[in-house]
Amino acid sequence: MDRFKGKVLLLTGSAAAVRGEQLGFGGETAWRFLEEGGQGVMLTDVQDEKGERAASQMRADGYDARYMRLDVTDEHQWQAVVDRTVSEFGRLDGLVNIAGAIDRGTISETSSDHWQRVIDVSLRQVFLGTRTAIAPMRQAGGGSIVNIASMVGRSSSLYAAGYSTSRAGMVQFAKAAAIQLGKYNIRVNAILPGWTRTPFTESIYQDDAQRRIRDVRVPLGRWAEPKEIAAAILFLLSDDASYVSGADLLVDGGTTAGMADLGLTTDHLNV
Amino acid sequence: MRLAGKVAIITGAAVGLKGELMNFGGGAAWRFVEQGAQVVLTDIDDERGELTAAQICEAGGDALYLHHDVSDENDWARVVDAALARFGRLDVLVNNAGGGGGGSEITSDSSIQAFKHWMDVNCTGTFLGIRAAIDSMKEAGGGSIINVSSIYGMVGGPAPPSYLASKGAIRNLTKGTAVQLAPYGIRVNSIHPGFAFTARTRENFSKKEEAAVRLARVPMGRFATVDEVVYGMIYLASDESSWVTGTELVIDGGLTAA
Ligand SMILES: NC(=O)c1ccc[n+]([C@@H]2O[C@H](COP(=O)([O-])OP(=O)(O)OC[C@H]3O[C@@H](n4cnc5c(N)ncnc54)[C@H](O)[C@@H]3O)[C@@H](O)[C@H]2O)c1
Ligand SMILES: NC(=O)c1ccc[n+]([C@@H]2O[C@H](COP(=O)([O-])OP(=O)(O)OC[C@H]3O[C@@H](n4cnc5c(N)ncnc54)[C@H](O)[C@@H]3O)[C@@H](O)[C@H]2O)c1
Repeated sequence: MDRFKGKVLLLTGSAAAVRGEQLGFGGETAWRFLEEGGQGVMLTDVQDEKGERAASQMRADGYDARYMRLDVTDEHQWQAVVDRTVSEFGRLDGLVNIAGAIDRGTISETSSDHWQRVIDVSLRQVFLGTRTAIAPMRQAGGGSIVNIASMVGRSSSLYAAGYSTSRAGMVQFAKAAAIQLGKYNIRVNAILPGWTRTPFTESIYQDDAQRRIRDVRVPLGRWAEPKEIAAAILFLLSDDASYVSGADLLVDGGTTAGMADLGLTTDHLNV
Repeated sequence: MRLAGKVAIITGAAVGLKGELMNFGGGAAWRFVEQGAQVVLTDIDDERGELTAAQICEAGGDALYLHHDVSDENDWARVVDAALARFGRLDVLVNNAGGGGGGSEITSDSSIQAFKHWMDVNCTGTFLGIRAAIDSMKEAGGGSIINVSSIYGMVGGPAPPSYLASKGAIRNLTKGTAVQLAPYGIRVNSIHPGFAFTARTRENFSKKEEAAVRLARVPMGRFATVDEVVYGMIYLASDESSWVTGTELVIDGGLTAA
């Protein structure tokens, strides 16, 4: 497939892209984007060592990839990254907002600083990223922005009031931006992933009790692999989705479709 | 090829004549075949359905047309049997046949007959389709069912009550059956197209005023093409969406974001 021929992609929170190590959504997406003809990829994150290694691994494989530090809450860094993407690769067609931070604790336990941090990583990210990407995307004749929210942006979750609130905001921001940017052929969508094994969730996954609480809630009976989320991101980035804008696409194995754990005694829940 | 080795039934697929504007079902049949699938097209419009299937075969595809009223339980049994007899398995079902009628505004004398008819086709037809596909999909080790709803299954607006009710019903029938069929690897999702320029809507959407009132509300400022909805179906039919079930894929150019 050559879906991304001549296209350039910028991803936040995408340092986990070193093959041979555990990949995150950004890593799976970036590799497949390149394999499907993408002209270049700009990886960004606050984990510089890992990000640099990922980009050089991609270059060693013959692809055009760069890494730059981008704290998604920093306006100036956003401008520098977008400028550099355009100067290195000549254009910008896709932006995937992947960076995330989570609070784990009750509302009473959460400090206001930590609350603010969680909200900022989600919401300053999508605001600053979108604002900065508009000009080069208009120049390219259009573009696609994908916000990685979470299924808890629709339902919510115990111990993650800030996270789920901020993720709902990422969905709503995608809709607002879709309305404003449709006239420039810039599409903006949100993906709401369910539980997926990545660096973000590895500690929960390793904890048997924690994992099992979640397993029984997934109708498909397992966690996602990051490549299944990447497939949805790539669909929205591609021209296959040329009329999809302002959408919130759940990719959660049915978790929020209903209460699979109520009254279902099917064997698969026990394996 | 994204659907290689898969066998699909697509209902409401009669309108797919080469070189002419198609409907979603007919357009899907062509693209599914292009992606490697073998396709059973069904409809009640036999003349065009036969012709569409014949043209797909002529172009080198593997397709079969069957007469099929989706509101008829016996027709479903016949269609699934014939699909299995011809292609040996069933992996994908697109419940696309549908429509609405009886006036776009509720009044004290809104047609009860029209309401019942379209509830039968859209809602009962989707239920019968899911029901008819279960056994063979279990046998195939899983499957993907795609129910074509509408933005009028998400929001209200000037559409016939039968359409609003049945398309809304499809949305939650999808979620419920997704949860129940997941243990068998059968995924069930709904697609919600906005205003698309198809063989059916062409006449209406070609009128300047009819187009203008609609497009004024669409952030992307244009109608969807048939392909733009069909590619959503292909994503949901393919293994690319292996973890997508119980979701609603809205393809509306941003319309319902507002
Ligand atoms: N894994 C899951 O189950 C799951 C489910 C739903 C949503 N998500 C979301 O998906 C996104 C990607 O997560 P992942 O699972 O690929 O894990 P990941 O850990 O690989 O990705 C998250 C990345 O965000 C980076 N990051 C954190 N704060 C940042 C900041 N201020 N600026 C820039 N980068 C920052 C981290 O360094 C990390 O590399 C996250 O936003 C997460 O909330 C994950
Ligand atoms: N065109 C749009 O803008 C739009 C928007 C949202 C949703 N939809 C939905 O998409 C689907 C396809 O619509 P389309 O626009 O391609 O137009 P269409 O009306 O041409 O397609 C519907 C097909 O279903 C067939 N059909 C009607 N009653 C049937 C029955 N009882 N059994 C079997 N087949 C029957 C018709 O013969 C027709 O071929 C419909 O479900 C429609 O509600 C269309």
